[in-house]
Amino acid sequence: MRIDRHICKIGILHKGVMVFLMAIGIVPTYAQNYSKSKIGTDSISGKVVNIITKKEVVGAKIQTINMASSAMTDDNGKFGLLYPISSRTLLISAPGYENKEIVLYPGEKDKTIGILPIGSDNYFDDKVNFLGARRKSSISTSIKTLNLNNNLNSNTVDRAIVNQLAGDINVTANSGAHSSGLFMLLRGINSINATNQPLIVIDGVIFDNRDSEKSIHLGNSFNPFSPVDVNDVQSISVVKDGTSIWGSKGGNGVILINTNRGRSQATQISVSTALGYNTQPTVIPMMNASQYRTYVNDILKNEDARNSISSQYFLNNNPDFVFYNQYHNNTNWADGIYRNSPVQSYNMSVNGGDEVALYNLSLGYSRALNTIKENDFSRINARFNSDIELIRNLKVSFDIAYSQVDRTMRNDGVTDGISSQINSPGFLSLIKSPFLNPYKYDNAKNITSNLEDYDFLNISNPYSVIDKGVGVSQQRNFSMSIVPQLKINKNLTLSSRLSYTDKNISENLFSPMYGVAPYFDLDNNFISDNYVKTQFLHQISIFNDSRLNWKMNSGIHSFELNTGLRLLNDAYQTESAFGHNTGSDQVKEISTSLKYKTVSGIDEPYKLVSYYGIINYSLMDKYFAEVATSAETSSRFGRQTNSGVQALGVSWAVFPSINAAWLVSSEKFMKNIKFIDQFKLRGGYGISGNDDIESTAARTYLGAIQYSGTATGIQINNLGNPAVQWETVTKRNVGFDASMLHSRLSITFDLYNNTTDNLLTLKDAPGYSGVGSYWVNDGKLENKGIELGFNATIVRQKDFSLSLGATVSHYENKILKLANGDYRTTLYRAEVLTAQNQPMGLFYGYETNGVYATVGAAQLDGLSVRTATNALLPLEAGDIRFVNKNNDKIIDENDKVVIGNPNPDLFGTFNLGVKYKDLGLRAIFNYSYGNDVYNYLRSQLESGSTFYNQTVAMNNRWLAEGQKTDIPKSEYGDPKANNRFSDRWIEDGSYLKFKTLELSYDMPVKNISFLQGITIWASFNNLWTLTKYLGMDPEFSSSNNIFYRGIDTGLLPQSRSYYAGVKINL
Amino acid sequence: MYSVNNEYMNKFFSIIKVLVLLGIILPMTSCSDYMTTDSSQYLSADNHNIDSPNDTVFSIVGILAKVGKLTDRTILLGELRADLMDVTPTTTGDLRDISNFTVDNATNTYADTKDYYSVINNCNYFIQKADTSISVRGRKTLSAEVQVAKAIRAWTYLQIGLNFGSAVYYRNPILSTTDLEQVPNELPLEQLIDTLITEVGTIKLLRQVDYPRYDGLNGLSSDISLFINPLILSGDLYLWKASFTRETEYYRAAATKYAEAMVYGNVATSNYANSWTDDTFTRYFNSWTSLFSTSSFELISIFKPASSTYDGVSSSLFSMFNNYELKASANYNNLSNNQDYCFYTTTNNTSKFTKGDLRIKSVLGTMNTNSTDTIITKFSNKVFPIYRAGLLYLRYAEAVNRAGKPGLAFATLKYGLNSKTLDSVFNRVPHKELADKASFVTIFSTVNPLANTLANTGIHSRGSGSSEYNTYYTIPDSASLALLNMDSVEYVENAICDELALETAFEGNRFQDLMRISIRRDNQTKFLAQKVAQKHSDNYNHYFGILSDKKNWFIKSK
Repeated sequence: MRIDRHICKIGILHKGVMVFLMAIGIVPTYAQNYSKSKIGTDSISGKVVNIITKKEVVGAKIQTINMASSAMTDDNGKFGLLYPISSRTLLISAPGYENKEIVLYPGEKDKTIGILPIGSDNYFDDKVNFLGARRKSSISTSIKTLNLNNNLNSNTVDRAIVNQLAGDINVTANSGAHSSGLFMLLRGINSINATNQPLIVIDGVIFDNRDSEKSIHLGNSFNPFSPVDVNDVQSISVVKDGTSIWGSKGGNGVILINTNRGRSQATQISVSTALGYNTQPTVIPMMNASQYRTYVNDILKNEDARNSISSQYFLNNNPDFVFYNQYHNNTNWADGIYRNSPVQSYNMSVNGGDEVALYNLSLGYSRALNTIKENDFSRINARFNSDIELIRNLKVSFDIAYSQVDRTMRNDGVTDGISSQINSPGFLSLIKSPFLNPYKYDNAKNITSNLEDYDFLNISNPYSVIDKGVGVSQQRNFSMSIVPQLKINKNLTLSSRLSYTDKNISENLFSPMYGVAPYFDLDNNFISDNYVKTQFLHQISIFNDSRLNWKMNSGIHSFELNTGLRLLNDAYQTESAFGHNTGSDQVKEISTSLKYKTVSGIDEPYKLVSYYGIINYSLMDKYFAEVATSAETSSRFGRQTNSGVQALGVSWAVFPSINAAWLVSSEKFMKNIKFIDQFKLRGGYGISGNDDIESTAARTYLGAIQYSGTATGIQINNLGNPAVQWETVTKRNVGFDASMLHSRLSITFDLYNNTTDNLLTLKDAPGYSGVGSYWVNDGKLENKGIELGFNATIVRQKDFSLSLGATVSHYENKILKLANGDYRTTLYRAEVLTAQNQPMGLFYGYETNGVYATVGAAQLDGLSVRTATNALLPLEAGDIRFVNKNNDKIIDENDKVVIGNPNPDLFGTFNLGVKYKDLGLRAIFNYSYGNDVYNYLRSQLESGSTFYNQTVAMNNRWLAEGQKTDIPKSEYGDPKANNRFSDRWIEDGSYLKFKTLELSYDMPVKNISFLQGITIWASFNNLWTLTKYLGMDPEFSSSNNIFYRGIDTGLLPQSRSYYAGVKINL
Repeated sequence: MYSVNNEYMNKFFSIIKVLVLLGIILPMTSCSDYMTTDSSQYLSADNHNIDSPNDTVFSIVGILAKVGKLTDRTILLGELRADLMDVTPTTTGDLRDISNFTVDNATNTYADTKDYYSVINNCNYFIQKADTSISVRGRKTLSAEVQVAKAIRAWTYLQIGLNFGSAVYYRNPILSTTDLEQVPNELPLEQLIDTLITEVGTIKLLRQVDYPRYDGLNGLSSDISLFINPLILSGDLYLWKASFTRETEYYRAAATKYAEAMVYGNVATSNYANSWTDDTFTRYFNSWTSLFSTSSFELISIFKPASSTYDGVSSSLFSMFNNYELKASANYNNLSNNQDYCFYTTTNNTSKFTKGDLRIKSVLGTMNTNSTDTIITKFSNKVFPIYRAGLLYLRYAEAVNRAGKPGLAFATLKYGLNSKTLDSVFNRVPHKELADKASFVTIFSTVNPLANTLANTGIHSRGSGSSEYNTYYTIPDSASLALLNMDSVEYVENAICDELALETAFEGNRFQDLMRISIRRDNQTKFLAQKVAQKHSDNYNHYFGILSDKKNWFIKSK
């Protein structure tokens, strides 16, 4: 490698950097070639042309990176530029065109530079990282930035992420409810017991998201994105490595969301509106009245079943019978519960300012009804971001935002556990007997408008839950941020961000008495007629980030040093109450008169102090390095951690990282490889952490306990471990970014190998300590993976273009070491295996091999099942043929094996873009391949052992000797446990979803002075899903807890939706 | 845009510089304090002091809640392993394993020692933290509670020792995982008892009634306590030591402690009995049941579980009994039915006899009208005694019997300890047994409460009629004893053991009672092994074999 001769202005620092660069093997023989001559200059002349039309571009600006030299193209598109030989990278920009970067090789004197008009995905777009927007070429970490400037269709932040970042994040929407939240895994599963959700940073403010907080509404989860209007979002950045700067919060990767700020002094008013509707979802086809009647008669062969029903009127088929009508309907319950639902959203923003201040003000309102009744979302939001130049060199940014999210809902999905009450309307609508009617008949056998009570099978009336129940979740978010920024001199800037965030959530739930079957609490021996739950969550977060920024660019070297101090002071409090039997469905509030009350609360203050430094260095715009370190201490850490540094009475976690990039395409030897525009190699190694430590893990606490209803006592609650610390996530990454064929093809490729050490886990305490277990850091896991993304412009003509893009991701998760050895966790009757040398989340259960068609077949196998009382029952004709793994002829615990893996083999997105003149068409698909799903919902709907209505598949259940089928006989109570957790319920959850087809048209508005532009658009979402999965939707997430992954609890499915909107720029 | 003169700017910058410096230094100076967060939800153990009566009440109630968690296992481990309680077809695995001596200590809920040590550690914490120097109006206010905690701790240790054969003994609270680095000594049962004797000896009795009164707790009559009576506990410890060493002085020490407990606590056995109303033996009068009520004078220390989990620590025992998950063994039924009931008529001074002890009527019942299953109904008040008068007198009898006074011991069962029994004029107790004027006898005459002739009746009379007139209920003469191949001490001990069954069945002491009696006999294991193996009549030899190894008397702890 031959390097140009030039001066080293700051020798010492330079040597240091050289040593560092040599250490990472980038410039092995560089230092010797340095001598003390002056920087020479070189010159270039040429022209700038539009790649598509080949026409010259007038007024294009050509400049070096440090802006020391620049030139403009003349009327013929020509330019001439004298530039220092150390600055061979030129930036080209022109109004209406995408920015571009080129490199000049030594000896190049004449060059034609092709640039692209705005509109296509641009390889050279800035990326947003910790420091803000930076040139893509200079970034050495693995980051994907999604710019939402031209967002039309994504009406929520959730949807923007699912549609456009599904290859960068393994993401699923929690359910089909509007803004229901996301389950996100960034590069695999990084933790077992701590959170796996990436850190979310909105406008530079770190917020301690309480991943563990739970809604009182079944199937609902809190969504950190729901307060944010997607129209306010400028960019979403996914930071996959080099997260050490975020210290103990960066282990799961970081999602940076930046909102719109004032751009220019020209006032821009933008108004957008979208209207749409969601279609009623397709639910699982259930038996009709006559099929169900046959099924119930089948079940009632059992004496216990006959004893458990409260009347047998339904058996009377005489039309003159007084209750005949009541029991002879053919009701499609789902039709009455699900619906088509409208969605609307409005947003207005004003962007502008003067020489003193730039601002962006936006107001938004959106309201979406979900496709299940009494289930909706509405939000009012306002945001004001401003940047004020107070005096010369002192700038203050002042941001304020408020949002109010109101939801109504009912419980959704199936609960875990048989004794819990079933009051989710969606689930009830599936299991409810189709020969019953939601409404009562009067004595004259005429239907009335009065709702029926729960039925003789003890199944609730879903209409009543909807009509008489209450389910409210309200969230208020207020945030304010002030950032004085003082420019001390041309290299040095001091800034301090002080922000205040106040989050309030209040929730109410009332499950009525009328229409809902009473619930027997077997543990506590009482009957709940109705119940009330309420919950308040309040989080006040004060965040300060003060930093000193020093920048220097000598042409050869470019330095940027940021060093600072971060403080996070968080007060988190919750209160909740739960009580039964209000006495009347008119009384729906918590009161002292309630029975079996439980009240609880959480008060968890949290503090974090972090010193950090990050150095970005580039040499001749070819070699880039980023070295970052943060030293953190948190109130959750123990005082004597093993990997921490002890200072000032606390333990400090030190998180270093180093990332480097080499712009190979800027090397002289690449001069003749014409098809490559830019090729950059990246590599990085860094350590970050996960501080999702139980707040009481490090210290021993005393807590209050009720004694005999009348007195309160305090007791030692836990055993604190002063050595408890963060989980240590080590990230190793290599990759490249390439742009080829005159920006027709761009590729991003990454390989990573991340490990998490010091996994937080509960360790069994010795019996004499008086506690069961305590938190320790022990265990290790790894994630290896590959990520590939490409964008190709296949046709590129003046009026027509066609482009194609795709992302493919794969990760392999493996637990390397566990503190207490392998274990299994029972959830929704499934066993989830956590075992060394296996990935997280494996389903562990029985294998099956069809159904015994004949008595002979069953006898030939001679298998028995072991019941709960240890008795042996022989398997008979019509029973499932379980696989007897250990050949002892007994189906029991010892025959369980791994039967499924919820981790996908591949996931990602496809997109297709077509543009004809002002008309645009975009299609987005995403997919997941190779992930298994435990269809818990189906296991309830095909159990053949309860009075629940069954799916139509159950018509094919085994009924008679010799019948060949794969569905066993129905039997009340399931004595042989035919519907136990087995591969019968494990399905291939692979899917390809046509997420969105979006059509947009930029109306020509040349002759209307006050209008800058009008865009009309329409979109079709969830057009189809290609899957073998039998459930309602293969994309769901019932919990952020990793153990629940791939367990389908029957949440509201996503359904097809149609939207249309208009965006007007004034 | 704006012009600012240089001087102003310079000043401004120097202020900024100072601020930056402060910003970096300030948080560093007090980092440890700054990083310590305090939650109003919890109390941190490291900065919590117990220095006011309120703190004390809360701490003691917290300990009581922990003790409450021991209710079920105390009774199950004490009874289900022994001869009186048996499994039914619906008994769950954990309980079945206890009965079969096949407890897997890793999984069995009741074999977990954690809850016992949780009591101990909370006591340790309180004893160490409570500031006993504080006094109000000249009275050391916290001292009484510290004594209470010490007694509870010692009692809990004894339970661990008796159930698991040894205990990890420590007195400093474990308040962080660093405290686990030094593993405390594990004391085998005998050594543990020695240690506990010393420790209980230091418990100061501040008043005659030796525990603080918390008004309104549980709505109990004020003489019933949720605390452990240190005198009875002390007596128990000596009784165990005596059984291990077979030395009379310890039997005497035990008897002395029991006697003090009776006198200081004014504990009498009167008034509670089930008896036939006439000699037709058709109707009976039931008052023995009421000794389990919360207004009973009989109860000394009890477990009182909360009525539901919503109110605190509750117990599953009541539902186990009611649901016929556990039942009385055939042994219990036979023993009870074989008693000779004596109906004595004062008008003509005649006795009429029938078979069967009547206490069984209060102990067993039927679940409902259409069931024949006999369920244990003894605890229908949901009160589980730890110490009560009947038990105390039987322990006293056990101690004095081995202290060489079988006549006195038997008199306690037959006549009751009262001035008449102890008066040599009536010849109820052989004169030679009273000759040494042992303090555990003379105490009844010097401190008066029990000196009344009717203060106590014989324990046996509580279910078997007027035992003082019961001619079948006597110590046989020496010739008869020789035929039985036993001396009077052993005969009386057997009678006491049976009386313990009739009086205190299912209260959680049985297995330990059998252990204690067994070890003081010549063949250390036979007595227990025989009794328990009889319950497993279809597999007698197997269980006799298992229980002939003393090691199997204890559950292996985790």
